Amino acid sequence: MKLSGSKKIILLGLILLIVAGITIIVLKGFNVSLMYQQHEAINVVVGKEINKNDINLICKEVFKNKTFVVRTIDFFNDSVNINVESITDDEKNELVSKLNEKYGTSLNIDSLNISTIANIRIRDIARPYVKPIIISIVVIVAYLIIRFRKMNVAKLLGKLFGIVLLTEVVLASIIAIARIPVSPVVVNLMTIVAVIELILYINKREKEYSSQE
Amino acid sequence: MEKNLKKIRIIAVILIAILLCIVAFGGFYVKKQGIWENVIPDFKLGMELGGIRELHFVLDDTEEEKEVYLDSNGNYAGDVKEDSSNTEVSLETEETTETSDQQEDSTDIEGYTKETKTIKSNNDEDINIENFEVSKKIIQQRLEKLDFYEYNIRQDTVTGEIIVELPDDDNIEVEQSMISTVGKLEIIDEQTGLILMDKSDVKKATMLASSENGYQTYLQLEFTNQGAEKLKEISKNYQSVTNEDGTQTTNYISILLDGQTISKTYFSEEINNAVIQLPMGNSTENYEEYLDIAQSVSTIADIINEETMPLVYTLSSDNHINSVITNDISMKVGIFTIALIVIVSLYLIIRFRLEGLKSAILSIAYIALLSIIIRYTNIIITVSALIAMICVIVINYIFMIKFLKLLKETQNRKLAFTQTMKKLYLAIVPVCIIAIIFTFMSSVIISSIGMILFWGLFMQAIYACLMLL
Repeated sequence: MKLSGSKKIILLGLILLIVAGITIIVLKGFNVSLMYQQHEAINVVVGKEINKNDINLICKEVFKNKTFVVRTIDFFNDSVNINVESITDDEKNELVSKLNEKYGTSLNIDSLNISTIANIRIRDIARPYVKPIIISIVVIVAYLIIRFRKMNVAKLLGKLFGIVLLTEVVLASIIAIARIPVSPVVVNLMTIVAVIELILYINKREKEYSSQE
Repeated sequence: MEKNLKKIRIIAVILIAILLCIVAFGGFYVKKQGIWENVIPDFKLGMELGGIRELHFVLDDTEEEKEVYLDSNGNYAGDVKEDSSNTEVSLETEETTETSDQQEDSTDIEGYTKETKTIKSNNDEDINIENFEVSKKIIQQRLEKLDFYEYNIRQDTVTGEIIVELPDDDNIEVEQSMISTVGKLEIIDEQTGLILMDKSDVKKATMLASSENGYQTYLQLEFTNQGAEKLKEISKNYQSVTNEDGTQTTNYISILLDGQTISKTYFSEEINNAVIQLPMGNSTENYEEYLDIAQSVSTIADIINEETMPLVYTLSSDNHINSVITNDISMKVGIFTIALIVIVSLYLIIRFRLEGLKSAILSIAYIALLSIIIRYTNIIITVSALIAMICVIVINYIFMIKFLKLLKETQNRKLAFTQTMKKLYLAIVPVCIIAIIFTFMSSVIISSIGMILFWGLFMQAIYACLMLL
């Protein structure tokens, strides 16, 4: 198979991207979203109605470049749950003083209920997807074999798997290189890309098939 | 005449479409006891959108001094009953009667010795990473037995602490008990406390129900070959017997789950078929009450059928944590979506004029109809489900654009419709397959995607016929 100049450049680019992606995955792994990785959770009962945006601003000042997620606890809107990669003693002191300053409270470090939250394993995130995806692939392949029986099905399926696999590997490499936080939403988006590719491929084959007929 | 009729039909369809939009986005209010109430149900939200219950479980470190039976090998054979030597229930008189010989002997049962021991909830040698893993696996299996499950599980591999995040709904208490129940089943002599059979003798547990004279739920225990032999012997010994002096003495057995009595019974005849059916709770005429009992018994059956947890966990904290997605974020996403719909609608109107206007209105009404269906079919909305919803809306717009293009070219509505439908649905067969398979999965994150795809595509196929008008 001979490739034109531009296609050669694209292929080389893709190979480089995949190699870089695999290297990063092997060395550093994926950047799992904060809520799915091990982190520190700080629960504080402020005792006064809080504004989540204010807490976000305080956390931005205290934790600077660290990733954090703020959620309110219970229905009274007077407690907050702050999730952050890690927390130092200085940050604890600063957080308490800023909260006291903002809400006129007299909280101290002991008022912060800090616990280490274990990670959620990627295999546990993927667990519900495995069975339906395998069944879907089997049924879709069976459909393709029946639908395009007059064409070279082995070639058709081989090409389809190749395209989908290549795209997914390229996407995974981009996610790893760009350190995009991996979460179920990212997994779903990757699945959608695979399905779109499948649709486009089938659409193309349908056109060929109808012109053959 | 026919042209006028067509105009009327189009106007009627557009009016219905506008009405649908008003109902879906504004609600349908009815005055109930002087208060205007929206009768359109609310969306059911999944964990990411509706908030979570964060349950922290730690290893139970309690210990208790108990008088226990030890067999000839020194193995634990049951807790000595405090009142094992003096009471017995009489069915006829409902009073405590004189102790039979068997009970008097119970203070010194042949082959067993009594000893006071410190019983720890978790033995030190059991606390290891393998058992942490096994416990987590069992919790996952139990939660996944639920019809529509959604959870996140985290485990600290050093302390063994488990955090389970669950949706804050009516199932929370059942789920909590499923996590903290060890699943240790014992059939004991009610009089002495001696273990007669345990989980290793049980092959299968099932929930059964009968509706004669009210609803009655049963727990059916099916025994292994070894268990069947033991059961045969037990059923001979644990019966109601009338003594020579006319007093009736009854020897009871108790079925315990994690040390809690779930049933207490005796036998009227020898059991030879290795199966017993234990009535659970009282017979009831109330169907709702029956369903609650049936759910509990079914959960007990599931727990018996699963492995026993190697470690005992206890709930240390329970927090309701609200979603990260606040009203502000929802508002921004809403505005962005509306802007997108307006842009696509303007494109349709500019490109296809009157037909474009009609399809733009119908497409918005399609979104409205889909949102009503989602609420009435109790589909749980997750972020993944929202992505699926966007996909079906996009598919509907693709259909509209393709149809209008072909209509412009051919000027034949029927031909344009059939050709567009054929092309579109042949291309999205994989999506239809995914929709059906995902719909039948128990995981909310998967089934919600399937259900939205299914209803979205099903409605699209029917709804598209309006373009024939």
